[in-house]
Amino acid sequence: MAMVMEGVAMAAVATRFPSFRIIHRRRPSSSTSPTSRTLRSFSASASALREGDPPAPLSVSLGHVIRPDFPILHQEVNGSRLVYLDNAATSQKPTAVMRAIQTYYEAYNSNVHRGIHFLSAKATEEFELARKKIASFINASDSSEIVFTRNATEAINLVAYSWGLQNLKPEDEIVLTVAEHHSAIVPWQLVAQKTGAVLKFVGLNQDEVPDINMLKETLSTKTKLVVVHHVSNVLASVLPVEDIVLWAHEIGAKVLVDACQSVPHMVVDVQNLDADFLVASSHKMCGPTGIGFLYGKSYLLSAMPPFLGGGEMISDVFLDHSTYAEPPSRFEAGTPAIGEAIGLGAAIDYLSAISMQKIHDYEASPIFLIAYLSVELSEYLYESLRSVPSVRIYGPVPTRNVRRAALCSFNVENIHPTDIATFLDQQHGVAIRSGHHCAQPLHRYLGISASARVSLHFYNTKEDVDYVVQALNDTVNFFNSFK
Amino acid sequence: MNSSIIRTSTTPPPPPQCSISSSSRPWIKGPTSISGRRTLSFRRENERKSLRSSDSGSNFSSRLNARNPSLVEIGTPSPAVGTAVADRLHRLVLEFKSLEEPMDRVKRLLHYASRLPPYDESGRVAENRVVGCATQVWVEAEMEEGGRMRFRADSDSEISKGFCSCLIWVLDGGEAEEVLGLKTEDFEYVNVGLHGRGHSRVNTWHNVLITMQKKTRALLEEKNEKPSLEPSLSSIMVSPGYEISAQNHGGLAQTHASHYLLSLSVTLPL
Ligand SMILES: Cc1ncc(COP(=O)(O)O)c(C=O)c1O
Repeated sequence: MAMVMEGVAMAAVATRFPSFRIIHRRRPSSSTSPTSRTLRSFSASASALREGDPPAPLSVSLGHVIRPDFPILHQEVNGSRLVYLDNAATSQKPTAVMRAIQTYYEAYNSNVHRGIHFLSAKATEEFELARKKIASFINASDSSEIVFTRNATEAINLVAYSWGLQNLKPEDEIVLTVAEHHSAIVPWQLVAQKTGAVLKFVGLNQDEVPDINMLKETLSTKTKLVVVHHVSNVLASVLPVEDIVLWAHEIGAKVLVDACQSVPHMVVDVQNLDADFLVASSHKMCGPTGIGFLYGKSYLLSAMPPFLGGGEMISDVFLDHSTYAEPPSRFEAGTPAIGEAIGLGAAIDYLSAISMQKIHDYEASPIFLIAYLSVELSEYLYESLRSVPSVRIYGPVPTRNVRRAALCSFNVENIHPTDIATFLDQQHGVAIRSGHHCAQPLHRYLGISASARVSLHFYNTKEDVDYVVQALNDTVNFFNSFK
Repeated sequence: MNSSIIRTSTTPPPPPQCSISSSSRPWIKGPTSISGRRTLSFRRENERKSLRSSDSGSNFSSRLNARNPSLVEIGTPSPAVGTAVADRLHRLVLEFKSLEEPMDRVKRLLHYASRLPPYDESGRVAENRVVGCATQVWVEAEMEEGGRMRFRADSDSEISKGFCSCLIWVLDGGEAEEVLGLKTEDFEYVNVGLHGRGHSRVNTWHNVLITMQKKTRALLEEKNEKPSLEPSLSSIMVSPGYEISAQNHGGLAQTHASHYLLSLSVTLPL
């Protein structure tokens, strides 16, 4: 199969780009891994492309190759081909993930850690295997550093209530940026109210990215925690987390990294970053909803009290007190989302089989790496969107040194972003987000109350970008004709 | 019946205006917090782009703008005395049911948006904001001496404005009891893009109607509490209300979140 696929891929691109390397790197070849399925599906993709999608371009991109793995993309909405560009809100799921969940319920659904029977043992094994997969995906040194949560929001709340209530005193400072997601702000406001700690927000610099020099200056011996996003869900900027961690550690502060928008799109290595805590949500990385994770350094998790009480998190329960289990169980009260965790494991297998580096190269790699292939998706999106009349795109201008993630938040003068999103959906079948994207402080800072956002994932193609830009031009003309 | 349903325009739209007007387009609050340098470059960029856009001539939206003669219009919104709220609702639902193409609904809403009476700038205050909408919507309610309800509304979104215009057409001039008797499900057919009942955070219909009803209820209670104390008062303005119906969890959460934001002094180093 792999041989056949490589042949097809090479034939399609060889004449133009002799060193094109999206799909022919060797992959693990276990028969149950999503890899073999992904490879197999390539032959199906040709026909899939012929039906619903625009004509296959001369260069077959990663996006074109893997689209058949995402059945949801091949449909019409409101009479047009669906173009899904709301990936920063949530990603679509490949067949491999849906199949893993179905197999769990069909073949070995059972509670975990509680029974000695066959099904329970199998479910426990797969559930714990999912934890190991996450650990190796983000290069944690041990899988006990991975705590399953419902989503990133719950993971942040876990740290806030467990670590925060235990470690924060009046006048202690928590440093954040104005570009944080509400999930990374509100838990700390609640904890600040309870502990008397103070939140300090860092603004943007003239390039419209969080001002890290300001952040560095804001750090002091009062700082106990720094909470920063890795990739901004509005500005598309990428923060130098390694540097921030270094500065924070120098003054004895801990760092929590909101990696919701980075983990699905690039290699994230917690040991390289040296982050103390890192959170992400499964649903943004091709996994199911209802599951996410917290990474925490072992010594930190071991010293933290439980967040919720119940089954699974205790060692012994007496009538007046209990002794707590070791992490990660200590933080996983009650029956966990077993099927979802296994689905997340399958998503990680799927992403790893493609390779996060390849996904990142396709979406947003530095120009010099693939200059001969023209620009990657992120810059293509930015440059294409700039051609729309009266558009204002937020965040940094991409340059050789400043990379953007593959998303753009923008406004078109005199048209409400929600009206734009409604028209794009109703008239063109394009799904984008409008509103404040759970980043109201950032919107306020930018002097706006809402914006529209196009966000891509690796199953999107340049044709999708061309389509949305054409549709946007139409939208602008439509609303202006009503003025 | 007014025959000018939708402004028919087959000529290319005029080039977009470049000036940022914070008063007429409140979602762009003007360049206050953006550095002057960037505001300038934004303008220059717009000027360049508008030149380009004006020669793009025909496109698919001009087709959309062609008038659809099969549409029946509900007529100039007027708080008709004696026309029951239920009757007007019925006519509105019939009208929107006859519009099968979603785009026709959008166009109709934009048409009604253009008829919404101008809203006083002073009304765009936090107390009048409808919580839980994806756009900014402001609603004010008054009760006339005879007990009839009067409403004013505005939005920074044209489509939301269209919703408001329809709601006002149905509810304005109605008895308080009539206003309170409406259910959000009644407006199911007067929707765009949200399928079914649309119990969504972004359902403007739902949120605006519930706000109008809450304000009506508050005014009614106020009136019942002191029936003849102040006979000279011709109308009572509703007091700001912050809580929202239990149905709208998203809105509630949002309200709480923004209160937290307000209660903490957030210092933004500039
Ligand atoms: C940067 C960022 N942080 C946090 C979150 C919250 O993720 P979840 O809602 O899955 O907990 C999101 C998702 O919208 C996000 O984009």
